[in-house]
Amino acid sequence: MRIVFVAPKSAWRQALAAESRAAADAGHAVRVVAEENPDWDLTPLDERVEVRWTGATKVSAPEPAFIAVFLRKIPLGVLRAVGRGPLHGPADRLSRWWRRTVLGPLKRRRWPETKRLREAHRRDAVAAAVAAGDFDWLVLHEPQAVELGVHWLPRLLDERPELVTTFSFEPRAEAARER
Amino acid sequence: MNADRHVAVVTPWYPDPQVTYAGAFVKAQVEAVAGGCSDLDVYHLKSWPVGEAGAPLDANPEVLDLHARLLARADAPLATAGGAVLHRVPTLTPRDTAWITHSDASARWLRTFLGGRPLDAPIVHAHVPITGGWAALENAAPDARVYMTEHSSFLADLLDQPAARARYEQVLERADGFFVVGEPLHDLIAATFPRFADKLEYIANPIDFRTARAEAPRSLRRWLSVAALNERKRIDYLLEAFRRCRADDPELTLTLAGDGKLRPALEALAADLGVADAVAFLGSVDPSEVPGLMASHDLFVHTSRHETFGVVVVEALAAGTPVLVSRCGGSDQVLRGIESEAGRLYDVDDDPDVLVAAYLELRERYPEKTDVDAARELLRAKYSYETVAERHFEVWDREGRR
Repeated sequence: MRIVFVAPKSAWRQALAAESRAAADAGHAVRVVAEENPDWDLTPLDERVEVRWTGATKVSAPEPAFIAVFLRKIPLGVLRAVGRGPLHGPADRLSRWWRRTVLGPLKRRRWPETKRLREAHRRDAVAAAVAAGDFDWLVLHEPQAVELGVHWLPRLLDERPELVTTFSFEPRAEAARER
Repeated sequence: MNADRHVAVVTPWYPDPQVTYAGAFVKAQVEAVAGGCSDLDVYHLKSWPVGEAGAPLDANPEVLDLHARLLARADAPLATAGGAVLHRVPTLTPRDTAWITHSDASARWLRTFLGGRPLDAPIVHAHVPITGGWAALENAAPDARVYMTEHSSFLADLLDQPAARARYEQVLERADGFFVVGEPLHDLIAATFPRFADKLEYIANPIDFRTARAEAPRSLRRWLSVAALNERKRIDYLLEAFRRCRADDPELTLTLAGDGKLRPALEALAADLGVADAVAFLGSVDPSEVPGLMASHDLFVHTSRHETFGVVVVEALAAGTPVLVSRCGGSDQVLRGIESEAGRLYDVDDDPDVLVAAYLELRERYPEKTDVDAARELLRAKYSYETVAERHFEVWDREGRR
């Protein structure tokens, strides 16, 4: 069968890697809709699995021009220049302090907007990954798969009642009994 | 399987491919009793948090409607321990810390999963009364008997919430049998609800005694901790005590099996203490690997501040490995009467020298003045799969005979 794992936030990476590998082992064609995360190095996806990255973590609310120029580019540029000389240590420490105490709160203030943009991006990425309808089994792998599913899944279920939907890919009881 | 016992197990905790050790003791219970049941179905009500933090569950009805639709068409019975059947029931919960909402959600989604019909088993055994227990009571058939086991380390916090406390009292009232895995839980529940004190009974988590090490450790140099890396387990305390002991014996090593948010800080601490080359951080380990780990070390060291039972202490002795354990509640009960045979208990104290002194005393008398084999046999009689299964059957069958 052709299985699509929908994991727009990839909250449970270890399970996603294990289950998608198991699905490929079982002879299925597997696609995963997942989010980038450095921790994928710890639990890599199987090379037989086709991955559609959402790219949502690269999306951020734009920084206002004033902040970008006067509070980021200029002060950090000056500190970088100073840091090339003998004041390397103090300039480094001051730079870290500036990022933490001045830029950090400003970035946190933009977080609700960033979150909204990322949510929309994930929704679009999932919709694009399932748009062709070239699958016959959907694994809604995490809570956000259900939350984002309200935008496209009810209609798909109406159109394709035979579509298999599950929350995981694990050994079925009947398969175990047959062994 | 026994033709007379048709059982449903309802639990919020059960191992899955993401967290293979979560609720491993529930899976062990299933494995222990499955052979004595005609049918055994496990309903795993794993929490799936949705919505904005603090928003009520029904803030987005479209999500609830879709989930209900998915649950109705997603029953794929899975294979689990002992030939039992596992049903994953993702339980949408709000992102809050109010136990009453999680309790309600557990009952709601199990009902939805069952299509409004009651569980068809005449015997229902639930784990974690506030969620699994309430879901079982609300979905059992009218003539079914519902039992439950409390394991929760967070019970005191839960009982501080008035609505959850009132719900807990209802659960105690309605359950046909109510079990705890250790004295700390017994004492807390009995003190909070004195009128139900007589209803509380003990039931143990089953431990695998099938494999033991070939030879007893010659010296107590290879230390092992199997614990989550969180504040309650006090691994920072362990690292400092280990450093002090290693100053006296540079051949000591320490293996830390378990993971958690404190891992980066603890790795940094090991480096700061100058013991990084003697300490191995293994991260999470699969429950099936634990007996082998226990058998390949010389001493199991436990530094927890509070435990409801002490599964790992019994697992260590089941493998034939001596133990050095804090008096953290559950472990005291487990080792009562066999303290010196099994190893050494020590008081929970912030001074690492308490652990150091306990280690030196144990090292001094090991192995002559210990008897790990005898301790192992005594624990086997209490906690083996066979013993714990018989205890469940006795409980389930005695009501049926009435």
